[in-house]
Amino acid sequence: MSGPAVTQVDADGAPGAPGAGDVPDAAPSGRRRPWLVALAAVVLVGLAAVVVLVVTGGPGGGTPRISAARAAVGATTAGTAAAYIDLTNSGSGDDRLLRVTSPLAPATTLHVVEDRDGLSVMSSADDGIELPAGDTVALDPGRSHVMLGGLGAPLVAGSTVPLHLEFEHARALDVRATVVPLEQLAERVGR
Amino acid sequence: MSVQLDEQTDPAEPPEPDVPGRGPGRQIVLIAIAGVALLAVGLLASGWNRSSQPWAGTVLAAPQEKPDITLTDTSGAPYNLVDRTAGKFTVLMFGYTNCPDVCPINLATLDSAMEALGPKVRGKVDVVFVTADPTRDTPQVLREFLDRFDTGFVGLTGTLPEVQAAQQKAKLPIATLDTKKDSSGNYTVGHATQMIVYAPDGEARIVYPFGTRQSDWSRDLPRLLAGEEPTE
Repeated sequence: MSGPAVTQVDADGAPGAPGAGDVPDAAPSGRRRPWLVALAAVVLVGLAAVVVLVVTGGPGGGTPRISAARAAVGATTAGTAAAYIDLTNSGSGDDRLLRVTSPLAPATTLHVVEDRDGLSVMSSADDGIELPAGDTVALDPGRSHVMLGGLGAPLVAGSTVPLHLEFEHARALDVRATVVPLEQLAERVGR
Repeated sequence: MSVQLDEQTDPAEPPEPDVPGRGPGRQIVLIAIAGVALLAVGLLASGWNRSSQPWAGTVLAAPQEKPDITLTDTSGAPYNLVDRTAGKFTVLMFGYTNCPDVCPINLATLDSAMEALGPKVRGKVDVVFVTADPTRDTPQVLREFLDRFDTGFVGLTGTLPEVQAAQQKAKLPIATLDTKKDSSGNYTVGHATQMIVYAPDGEARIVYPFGTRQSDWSRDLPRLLAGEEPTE
């Protein structure tokens, strides 16, 4: 199949300047092989897009930077406890808390709590908890918590519980939560 | 003949301000009157009528009667709420023992406040916890759960229709039991989280939300026990 009449291709198929063996072009120089130029443009744009995405970390722009504070767990003699924490994203990119684990609790679940017609309803946060750039999100009683299940021993006020926090983008954080008396947790309920 | 010196120019007298009638003596009197007036207003607003002080709970628009319900207590025996708590203050709440935070925090906070107020208060207040999840919360499970907070707390269970009727009579939305179970067979229960306080006359005039602090109970319970009726 012959190409457009105005283009010439070298013997090896590579674009090149008119050489001795070429038939002189009827087209002006620089408009030699439009399809190759188009291909190069697409490749460059594609590369540029990849570079931009890598640098900016995808939608939400920027890089998240997560820090944790006020990590606490309610004292309990039962096999289940709830952990609360303040997470601040001081970065320029959005992130999500995906999962929290603890060596003390074989079963952990991230819960969000909703008020539905006067009922406090807990559900598992399957998509994690959003941590928008520039915001502090507080996991507080009545709003959200990490349910620690399968505890092998009572949690005594004053001791600590290690928590491993995994995020969608940011590197994982290891935090030590303080065990506090339950009545202290009432102070953390938003009004 | 005596020389009548103009007061304005008498060097022995202190110079008076330009405006006539505003001497220092008069200023003091005016300030004193204002002070007494402010004191009177302040006393009226705060100290004189104690029932005008705000309550930590939500005052009900109309009193609610204590539900006449008979459920099963933690010893397995029938328990009629009206009969058994007659003449006492009663704090009624619904929940479930697998509740990770709302119920434990409500119970622990109330208990710590009552402990701090002393046995006289403790003896006048019955705390009744009714399960919204009777399938898992048998009398024994309920007792073990409540003993974590206070061995004197009353736990009530029954059939599912019975506990639902109890919630209805307490004018609370009926709890939902999630059909989704986790790998251990556990499920969440969506329930009302407030605590209703009935006076010895069997009427509730105030309701305390989840998040009521120990300090809130410590202020409000003595007022209620002293006979103060919650008003808006």
